[in-house]
Amino acid sequence: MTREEMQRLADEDLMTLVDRKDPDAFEVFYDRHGGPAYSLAHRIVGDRTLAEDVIQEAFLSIWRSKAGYDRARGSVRSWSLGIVRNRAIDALRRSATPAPRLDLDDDAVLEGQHATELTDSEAIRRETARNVRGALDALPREQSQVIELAYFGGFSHSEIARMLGEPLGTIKGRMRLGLEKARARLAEGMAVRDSSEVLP
Amino acid sequence: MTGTGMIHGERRDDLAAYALGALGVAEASEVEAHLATCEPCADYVRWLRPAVDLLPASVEQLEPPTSLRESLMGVVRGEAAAVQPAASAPAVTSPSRWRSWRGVVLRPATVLAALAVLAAGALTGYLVSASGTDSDERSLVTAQAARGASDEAIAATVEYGAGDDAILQVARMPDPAPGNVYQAWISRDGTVEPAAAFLPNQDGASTAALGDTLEGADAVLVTEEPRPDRKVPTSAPVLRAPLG
Repeated sequence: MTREEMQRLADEDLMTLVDRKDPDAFEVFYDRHGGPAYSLAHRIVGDRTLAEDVIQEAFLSIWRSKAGYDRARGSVRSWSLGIVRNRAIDALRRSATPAPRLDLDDDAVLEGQHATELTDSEAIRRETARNVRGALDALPREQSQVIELAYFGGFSHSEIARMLGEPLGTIKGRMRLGLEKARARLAEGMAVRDSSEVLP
Repeated sequence: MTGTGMIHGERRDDLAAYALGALGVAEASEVEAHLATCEPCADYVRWLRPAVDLLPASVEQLEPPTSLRESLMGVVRGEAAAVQPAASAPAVTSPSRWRSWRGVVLRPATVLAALAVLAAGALTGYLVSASGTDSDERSLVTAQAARGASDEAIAATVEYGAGDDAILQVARMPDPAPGNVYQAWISRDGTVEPAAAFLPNQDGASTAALGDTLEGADAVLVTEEPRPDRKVPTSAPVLRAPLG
């Protein structure tokens, strides 16, 4: 199969080739997901060199995995970013690097780059980032805070409760309310095709 | 926890924390067991999932450096070649021969296997001489293209020293970049494990202890690394020895 043919494959089909240890397929996989993965790793560890180490470790673990990708784990993007998140949180805990800031005010950085410097895919990713941040920014601060601490900081609900000096039930309730509101806003403003738009 | 056809408010809290990855291992296992039997709760987690999945998309979008891609693909292609040697790169020492040598020559200072040496340029064959007294044990090795290596052939052998520890000996290795070291790796079943780091002397010679861990190994790799404590290679191999 040529590289051009691989580039037209759906993620799930591409992973079948990656599972067979096809390095060309893995390269296409990295080209698709390496950018978002690196961005996530950098957001969590707050350091470019450490983020590179995280990506190297995470993608090599995917390449070397004997179990391979399982469609039951969700989309290839979600599955691979989950691996990157876990590696990044492990790296953050191992390193002496201070935790990165936990606000979502990245627009100033994004706006600082001229649009013509961006490729189409980068522009789409950044537009998506703005939309998602819009959904999160609309949350009450105490709700977005616990979501960020859990997802980007890797803290458990009990660690967050101790950190903020709040009852565990309060923290879990904030997580739920924040996620439900964010999910509802996504349903209103963004195409989410793989799930019902109605709260079960 | 049992499915009841509806989700209690407190249960929703646990499910949301689970979706965020904010539960401990034991709690997460408990939730997963419950989700396997409770369709309403499973539906709720599936409904929440897109909100969690899009959290990574909210961050500042950065382009990873091209050196990261090159480094990653160097390792991947090196391991793919170690697992499935290219048809155009004939085996240097067949697995059966290598294993038979090992059985015969487990003694100090005896050449055990010749390394396939990755050097710049087209495929080239050359001799790697045995060290010690077993001068009749010479093996034709095959050079394969690799970036950054010298045109001059790098010589490398693996020997067993005292205590049956395997030792990598190299000659005519170019100096690594300032501050960098060479790192030996043992490739086995598609994975690599770090062995020893080393620096060549002014003549390009050096030795590195590989330990007694070559059983089942399919190749010995050498990469250039910015520091000696790497757990995974960060650059393409400059030496590769397909042992079996």
